[in-house]
Order: sequence, then structure tokens, then C-alpha cells
Amino acid sequence: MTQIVASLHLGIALLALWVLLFVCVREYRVDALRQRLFAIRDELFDYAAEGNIDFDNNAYAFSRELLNGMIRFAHRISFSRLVLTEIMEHVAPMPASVAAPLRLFNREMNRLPEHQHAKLCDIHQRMMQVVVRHLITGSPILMFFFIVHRLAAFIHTAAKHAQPHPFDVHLRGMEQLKLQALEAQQLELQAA
Amino acid sequence: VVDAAVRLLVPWGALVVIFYFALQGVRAVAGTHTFADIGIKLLGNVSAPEWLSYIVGGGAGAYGIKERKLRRDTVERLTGRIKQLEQMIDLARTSSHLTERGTTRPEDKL
Repeated sequence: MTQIVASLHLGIALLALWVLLFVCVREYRVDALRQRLFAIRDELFDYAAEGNIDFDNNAYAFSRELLNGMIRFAHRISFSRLVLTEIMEHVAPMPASVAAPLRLFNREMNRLPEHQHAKLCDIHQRMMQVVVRHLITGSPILMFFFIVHRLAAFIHTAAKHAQPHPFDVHLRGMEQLKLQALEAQQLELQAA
Repeated sequence: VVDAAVRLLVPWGALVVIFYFALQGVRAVAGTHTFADIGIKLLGNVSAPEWLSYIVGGGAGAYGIKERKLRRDTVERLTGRIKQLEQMIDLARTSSHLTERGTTRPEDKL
């Protein structure tokens, strides 16, 4: 009898842990990612509002749309999606036309004056750092490799006193994630 | 679809495992005790530190839920104003298409 009571207590505790991990923490992580992306989007808006770049500039509009797409689909950004996207890319590669928006963005970026180019690149880079942070901290597998990578990077760069941003990590499949976010935003615009 | 299935498999799989083992425990004493016996023992055998941990855990959960509601209420209150002010500067302002409370729209969930 004592054993069954103990196992029921364990069951209640495990259920509470389940709610904490798969409901509370999961929702918090999505909200936290959105919060960070909103902060970057606000910074981009302020940059344009100060007259540094036109609101109808294509590179600005693209950057904002990309941020909007990432905010909207933050709940879908996960390690499993990244892996599946990468597998799908090998099984059935996306047609070249799908990647056209990214090529167009790069072309528009290269046309910008230096200060605008630097600012938008910085915003883009920080957006990717935020997304990579979300991906890594949400996956025990990626977390393990990240810690090993950070340790190696620390040992390698300690002598040079040059520490890169911890989440400046290139993950395969990130370009596809960006394209998926953009594609959904464009569909929404067309529907509207 | 595959991604959604993978995302659902881990939490629901874990829940099934928890219920399976809880059920095994109940089966082990099936026929020897009534549910009322087990219920009385379950509540009666809880020590003061265990009660305290349940109260702290439950209280922390309730606090978290209230804080989240407060934050979402604030988001709802401020979103309209921010949108209006930004549209005064940028007429073609685009949106992230979240709900007014900053949550995922039901049609975007899966």
C-alpha cells in the first residue's frame, strides 16, 4: 500500500513536470523568441523613422517581412523542423524560383549605401542569432554540440581576446526556414 | 505535417508513458484495496515537507499564470496604440499577423 501511494505521488509529480515542460516552458520560449524579434523589428522601424532609410525601400520592406514571418511562425521553429527541412531539401529540392526572394534581397542590399547596408546586415545577423539561440536552447542534442563548440571556440580564441557572439553559429537549413517564413507572409499579403 | 507530428509525438508520448506506469501501479493492488482506501492513504500519508512542496509548486504555477495573463493584457492594451502611431509614420506598415494578445492565430497553429 505504501508503495502504491509513493508511486501515485511520483505520478502526480511527473504530470506536474509534464505540464511545466510541454505547456509552460514551451509557450514561454515562443513568447521570449517573439519578444526578442519584436525588439529587433522596432529597432528597424526606428531606424527608418529617423530618416535613415525610406519605408518603401525594398531592402527595408524585405527585412521587415522576414521579421514578421519569423514572429508569426516562431512556434514552428524547432530543431526537428530544421532537420526535416534539410532532409526534404535533399529528397525534393526546392525549385530555384522559391529562393528568388532571397536573391532579390541580396541584390537590393548590395545597392544600399554603406551605412544602410551595415545597419540592415547587423539587424539581419542579430535576427539569425536570436533564432539560432532559440533552436539550440530548445534541443538537448544541439545544446550538447553547442557547449562542445563553445568550449573549443573559447580555447581557440582565448589567446586572441576575440570572442564571437555565442550564437553566431551557422546551421544548415536556416535559409529554408527564412524562405518558409517569407512565403507564408507573401501568401497572407496576396490573400489580403 | 511531418514536423507537426514530430512536435506532438514527444509530449503526448511522454504523457502516455506516465499514464502507463501509473496504471501498472494501480493494477498491482487491484482487488486488494478500494479507491477510497488509496485516496485516504494518499492524502493522509503526505508529510509536512511534502505539503509545503506541493503548496510552493502550485503557488509558483498560479503566480506564473497570473503574470502571463497580466503581460498578455498589457500587450492587448498597447498593441492598438503602437499600430496606430506607427501607421501615422508608415502608411504601408506590415504586420506579423499575431492575435491582439500577441499569441499565435488558431489557423497558424499547426
